Amino acid sequence: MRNKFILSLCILILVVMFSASSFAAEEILFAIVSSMTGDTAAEGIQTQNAVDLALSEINGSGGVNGKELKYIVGDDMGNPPQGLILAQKFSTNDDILFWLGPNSSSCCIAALPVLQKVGLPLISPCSSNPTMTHMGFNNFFRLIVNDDMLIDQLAKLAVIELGYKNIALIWENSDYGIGMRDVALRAIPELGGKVLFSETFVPNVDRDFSSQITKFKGGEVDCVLVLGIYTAGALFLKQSEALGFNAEIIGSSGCSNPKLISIAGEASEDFIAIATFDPNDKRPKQAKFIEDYANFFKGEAGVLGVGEWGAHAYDVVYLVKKAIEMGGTTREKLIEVLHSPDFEYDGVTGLNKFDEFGETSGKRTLFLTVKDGKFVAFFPTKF
Amino acid sequence: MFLQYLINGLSIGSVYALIAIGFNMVYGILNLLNFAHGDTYTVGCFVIFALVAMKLNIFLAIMCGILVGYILNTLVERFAYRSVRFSGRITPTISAVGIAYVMRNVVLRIWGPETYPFDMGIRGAQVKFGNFVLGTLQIYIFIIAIVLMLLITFILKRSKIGQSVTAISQSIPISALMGVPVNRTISTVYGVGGALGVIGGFLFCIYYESIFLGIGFMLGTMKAWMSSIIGGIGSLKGAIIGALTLGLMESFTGGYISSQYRDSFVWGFIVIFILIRPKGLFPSAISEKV
Repeated sequence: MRNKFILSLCILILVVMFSASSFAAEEILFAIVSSMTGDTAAEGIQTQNAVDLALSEINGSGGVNGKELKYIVGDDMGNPPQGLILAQKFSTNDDILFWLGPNSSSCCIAALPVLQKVGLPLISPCSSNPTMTHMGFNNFFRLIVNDDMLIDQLAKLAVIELGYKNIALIWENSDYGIGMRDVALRAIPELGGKVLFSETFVPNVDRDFSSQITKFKGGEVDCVLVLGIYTAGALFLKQSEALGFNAEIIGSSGCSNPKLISIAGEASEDFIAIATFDPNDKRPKQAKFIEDYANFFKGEAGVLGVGEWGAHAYDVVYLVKKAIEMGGTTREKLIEVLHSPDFEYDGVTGLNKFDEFGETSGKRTLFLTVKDGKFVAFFPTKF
Repeated sequence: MFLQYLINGLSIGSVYALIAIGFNMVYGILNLLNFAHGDTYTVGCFVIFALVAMKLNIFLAIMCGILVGYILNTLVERFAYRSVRFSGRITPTISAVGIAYVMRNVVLRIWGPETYPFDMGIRGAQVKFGNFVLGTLQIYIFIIAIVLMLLITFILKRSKIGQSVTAISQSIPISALMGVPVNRTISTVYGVGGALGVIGGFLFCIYYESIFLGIGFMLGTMKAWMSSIIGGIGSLKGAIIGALTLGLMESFTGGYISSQYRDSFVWGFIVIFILIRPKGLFPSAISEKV
């Protein structure tokens, strides 16, 4: 009796094992890695939300080549060592086709060598440090316009459009911040402005900007470039107001998230950030995406609306779908298809076409300014 | 700008002081670092945040938050410390770190990792003299820190429970033999430490007008610990002086030397300080069994 029971149990286990693996063959697995916790958590949450929206649309209409898209999530906390750990963990999973990669430039740089070894493509929605595409990784692709272009535009806004000459920089101490700082330090003098101060802060940790603000105030700065993400930007705005510092404050695209307004409150009025996606875009494709996102999500994500992270992540999913349908069914083939000069995808963020370094170009950027507690788009007139 | 750096340093130092007082109370009695201190008050502050969001009167919300801090810290003592009280220094500390992680993750589950605006309707006025700005809130925080310190010192010296606490800090077995209710007294000390922590954490959130789960460990426990090292561990006066010194160091180093290497300088200073004067500036008399 007992032997029969053990035998049936073994058969049952074998059946379950085989059915599990045959189920796996019906799906395409990918990894979403972003900061789900920490000061930049809105990035990860928005990214995952946008992917959920895309997946509901794609899987709901038959999937990719008849297979369902599925993902697993890794939280890098915006912290490079954690990004590396995730790379090592996921690189042992042969079922993963690609990484919908980190938005944090530092985390991408940490993970790329490990992923290169196993040939896993990393497609990043929004990591924008300019040097990343020239580090020799052929498995790296990014959709966002890089900081060379973005910060150049921000510098032009400060000096040419708004007419300020005495500029201060406050940058986060990470690859993202350092990359932006270097572009600003080069671009501002070229345009005729002067960088009076270049101060930093530790992202995800530092809350207190009083030393930096006091220094800027004493030095007669008339414009500050905040080169970081929304939480730090919001706190900087609040503390500047409290300390009576009245210079114009403008920020990088990491600050173009509506959460900045919710944290900073009234202090955010008239703040300008450069952005790669207009949350009130009225063009049909973009307007539909914004509406679908808002309807798909109840709760905070829907209420605050989608921004550049969600928009780019949404495009990544559809872009990869197109690439898979064009033959990119394995990691190697996917990299090949994405690099091919014929490949392009026109998404909500614009035309996505990768050069041999994995870089996109030619996309539209705009500025968002806070008016009455909401981000409103504006386009410069003098450049 | 020297005066503004001074004001900034004293302001942030006062906030650290409030947190350090609660932290030091526990250390002073039991010679154990309460690594769960920060996360206890984080929970308390989030409770206040949630209650105010549900439109409860702000004073009631604060009282609830303080009560939660009190209860939580007594639970920390009961489950993380009491059973390992005599197992040396490392075991209780690790046990506290463990319970801190649990609390942090509960907060993460419920409220998520985001920073929320903490608007309690309490906003200090700004006083401007010439180029300098001083917030009235900053003055209140400073005064509250001093008042609390004096109050606790008074209670410890003059009241019966204060004497029980002093007895326990000298020897637990003898105090028990003398009829001091050891477990109850220690619970009370932890509880009061937790309540003080919530007051400190709450003022911290008001000061920065934001709350997130990192106010516990990174900004609370670590700063409290650093303040205690500088000021003299176990001593309440030391906690305040140490915290103010820490605030001033951060402000001046960030302003005059470099914001990039500010933490390196501050930590470097602390390392050198420990080498020269390990007991801190105002160490409390720690009696040893001979």
